[in-house]
Amino acid sequence: MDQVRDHEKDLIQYTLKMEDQYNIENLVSYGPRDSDERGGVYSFNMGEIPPMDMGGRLMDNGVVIGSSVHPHDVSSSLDVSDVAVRSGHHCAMPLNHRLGVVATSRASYYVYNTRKDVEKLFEQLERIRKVYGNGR
Amino acid sequence: MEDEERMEFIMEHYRHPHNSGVIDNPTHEITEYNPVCGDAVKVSILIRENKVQDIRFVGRGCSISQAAASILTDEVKGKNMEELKKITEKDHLDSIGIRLGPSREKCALLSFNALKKILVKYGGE
Repeated sequence: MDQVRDHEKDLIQYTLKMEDQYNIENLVSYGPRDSDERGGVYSFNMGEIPPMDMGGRLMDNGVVIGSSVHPHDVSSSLDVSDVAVRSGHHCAMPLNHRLGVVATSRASYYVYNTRKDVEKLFEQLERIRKVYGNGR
Repeated sequence: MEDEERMEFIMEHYRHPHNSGVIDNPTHEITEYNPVCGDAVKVSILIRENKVQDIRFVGRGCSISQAAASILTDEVKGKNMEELKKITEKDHLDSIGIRLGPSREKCALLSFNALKKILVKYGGE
């Protein structure tokens, strides 16, 4: 199990390195930067979309677009490129609301994942940013 | 390829939604919310002389949910109530035109469900 843990830590460290390297516009990730203090999951958003308030009213008066990409669009677009991530509340709706976001996307690494997979994730996130940013 | 073209059509509606906003004095207004994904649309409608004079929406959510609302509002504007009642779930999904999985279908149907609830309200008056 120590080897599994080491592998997860390596992938997370590599992910945070890739994140700095790619520096994708509006990409936000959650959790500590120290791989000793976290597990093998990487939760993130392409721009943060606030949740609707519980009174059932929309806090703004229009469709939210611009630089934010909804986590479900992120995961669908990654899926098309054979990158499988989960998106949504991850059975932790109160935490999402505490973070002030409608949902997050999450890559969950395990023994079968490699650094190549991490690279592919960021290549595809950069592609998605372009698609939703209207080719910008 | 056809799917790709259709996806561009969806993205166009998402980036530049038709009929976005609220009507000042709507005859009906409904907010439909999906607690699982957090997507929401608020549809306001003005029905006069048995006809949809105006329909607008505001919302928050993924491209599919918001584009679907844009497409639906385009479609129902100017229609009379009999025509409106005839629009089925399948008609709406066909007008979106891309294959959606079961969870994304719910996104697409958010605005459709709002419209159906408005029809129930209208029928009850």
